[in-house]
Amino acid sequence: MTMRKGTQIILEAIKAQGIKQVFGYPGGCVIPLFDEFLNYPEVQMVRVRHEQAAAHAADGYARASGKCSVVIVTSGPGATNTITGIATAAMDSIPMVILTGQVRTPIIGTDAFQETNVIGVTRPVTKHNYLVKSVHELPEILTEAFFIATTGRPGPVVVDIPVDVQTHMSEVEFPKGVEIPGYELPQPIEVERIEAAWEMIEASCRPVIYAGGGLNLCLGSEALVRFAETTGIPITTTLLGQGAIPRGHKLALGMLGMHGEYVANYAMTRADLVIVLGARFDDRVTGKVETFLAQAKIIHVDIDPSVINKIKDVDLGMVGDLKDALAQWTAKAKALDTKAWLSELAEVEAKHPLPNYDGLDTADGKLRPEFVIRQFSEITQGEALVVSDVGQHQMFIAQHFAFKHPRTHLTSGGLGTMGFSLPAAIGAAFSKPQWPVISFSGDGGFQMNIQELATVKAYNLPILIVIFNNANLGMVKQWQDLFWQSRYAGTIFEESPDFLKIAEGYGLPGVRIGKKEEVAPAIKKALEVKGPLVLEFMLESDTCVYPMIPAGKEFKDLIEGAAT
Amino acid sequence: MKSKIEGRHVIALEVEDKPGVLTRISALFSRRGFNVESLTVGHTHQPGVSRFTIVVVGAEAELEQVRKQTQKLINVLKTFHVLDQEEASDLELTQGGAKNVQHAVMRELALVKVHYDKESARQINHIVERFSARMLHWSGEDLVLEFSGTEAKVDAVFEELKQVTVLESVRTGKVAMSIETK
Repeated sequence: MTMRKGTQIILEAIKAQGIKQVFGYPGGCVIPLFDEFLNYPEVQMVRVRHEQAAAHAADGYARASGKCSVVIVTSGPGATNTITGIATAAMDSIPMVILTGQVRTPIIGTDAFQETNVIGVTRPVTKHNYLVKSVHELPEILTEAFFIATTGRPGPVVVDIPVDVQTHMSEVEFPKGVEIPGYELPQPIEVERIEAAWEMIEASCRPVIYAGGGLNLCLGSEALVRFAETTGIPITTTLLGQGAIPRGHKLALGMLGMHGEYVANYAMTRADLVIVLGARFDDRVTGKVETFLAQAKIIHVDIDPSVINKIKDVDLGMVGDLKDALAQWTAKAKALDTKAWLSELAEVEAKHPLPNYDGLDTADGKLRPEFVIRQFSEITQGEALVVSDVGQHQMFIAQHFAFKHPRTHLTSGGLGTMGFSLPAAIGAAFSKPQWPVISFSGDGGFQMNIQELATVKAYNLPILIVIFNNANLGMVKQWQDLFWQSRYAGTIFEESPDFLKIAEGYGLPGVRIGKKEEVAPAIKKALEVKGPLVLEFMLESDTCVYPMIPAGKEFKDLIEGAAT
Repeated sequence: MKSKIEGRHVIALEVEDKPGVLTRISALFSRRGFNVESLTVGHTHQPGVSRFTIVVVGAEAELEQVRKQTQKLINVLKTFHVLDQEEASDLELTQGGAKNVQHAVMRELALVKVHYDKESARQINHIVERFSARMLHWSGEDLVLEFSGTEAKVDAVFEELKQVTVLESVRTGKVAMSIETK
């Protein structure tokens, strides 16, 4: 039996997870914990410039690597600043453990300086949370926290640790195993269900796989592609499912939903069987629920029983591991006769490609974002970690960047958090140092965590920081154009800062690109640079993302946008 | 297809007896806009395990969703959607639901403090006899009575009590226990 300090127990727990970096910001109630990092050089404390960024950075680290990540912040405002980051991770099922400092145990509940009821405010946005009342509980709680965050449907777990608990001593060891009586992990899927599903698949004429973020979370991409290739079933993915099948694959239909591809949404209306894998019928995917998949039988596989029949009643629901289901099906599978179906889809795709305006000059002579994104896609050949923010550029990236590998499009899908990209790219750069990391933001979102340029500089991270500057909030403006008579309430930035001067102020080089012919050379040069670089693209201010199925509408209401 | 029509439902939960578990559960019900009609909680024969009985009004499809989300809470051990035998409908659940819907017997307890005097004596004695009430306390003026039974019975008690002066009353809300049905 050895006596250990609370902070030592915490560092040992982090080390045991194989975590090399944690993301944090100091404060009064975590001074002991920050101090302990000086004794553990094998775990790096990445100090960011805002607690929200610490949460997004940890999120990016987890999305890129698939490993659990750790955030450490102080009590009160430190903890509340992480809420947006925690909610972002919760919506997209990202494994994260957030350690928040808390005021001393004897003064909890007295409105002490920098005290917040962290358990209360984080409860709705976490998978679970804990207040540690004694140092002797720490080994068990930390073990449970990491276990809960990473198993089943992953998610963020908050552990609130009073500052006196951090300095108290305990002999209690880490438990050998984890026993949480109320926490059920899914059992292997029953053979009968697998067989029933396979019979439905075999009997179908126009099957489609609708694959979601679950496939990226469970690293099920290979199993997915093998099953699809064996059977000849085409695949459409959600925003978070991108990369589960390489974009150029003959069975890949692209993204579905509000800004999905015409052919993907067409396939959903024509399908007689849809196999939903690790997706949750988000409203941006379904549009009008009553007509979505009205013609199709539905098989739904998910690790979370509560998403089955949540939005839409399905014909066959299965709770369990996607890879397990796919492997069992593949073992039975044979090639289905989908030739006619695939050629129907190919024809539709050829008739209804994504709008392409490359041949046209823009009204103000500025760049089109899709063009810039396709240049990035072609030059990198999809061999990059792309981190996007939220809005038009996010959708343009989803449409026009040819993602080749799983977990290479890191984006806030469910919560739609502006300001996500730059800090998430920081986390991604730490977890995948061998990959080029490209952070895309609009000029709106970029200014929501602009202070993280300092973190990029401090750690000299080789991130390409791309700003799409159109001097407005494009996606909201698009809705105003389409549904609010172009009344631009709050969406135009009459004054914008000089982003390159800001970059310079933070000690980072920057390039401004305004002409088509400058784009490719600038990207090529940027990719050769070892170190951070800011690239500002001056974009046309009047773009709209098409195709678009307006919110709550259906495929027949799809606005295609003019193709050239 | 599960019913979208609003109705009364009873959910029983077995939970770990840990701080905050009540808040976690009630937050899920309130997020979906369910109005909790009654909620009882108490220990069971198993150490560290408490049992909730929650009566809510809402659509069955939504309630099944809340039940599943409740089951996901780390401190929740078991959830049951229970049906009064007479309320039992042809409930059909597509996925893993059937085993969670159970028939049950339900009871409720009420304490009532009434003003007892010469004028009201006959009426109160009648109520006590008719509903097999227990007399718990007598102050010389006020009488505390205990009633228990089905919700319908307790409703009838309160109907009768309108004829006398009730000073205070409290109902526990339903508690439920599942039963085997043939």
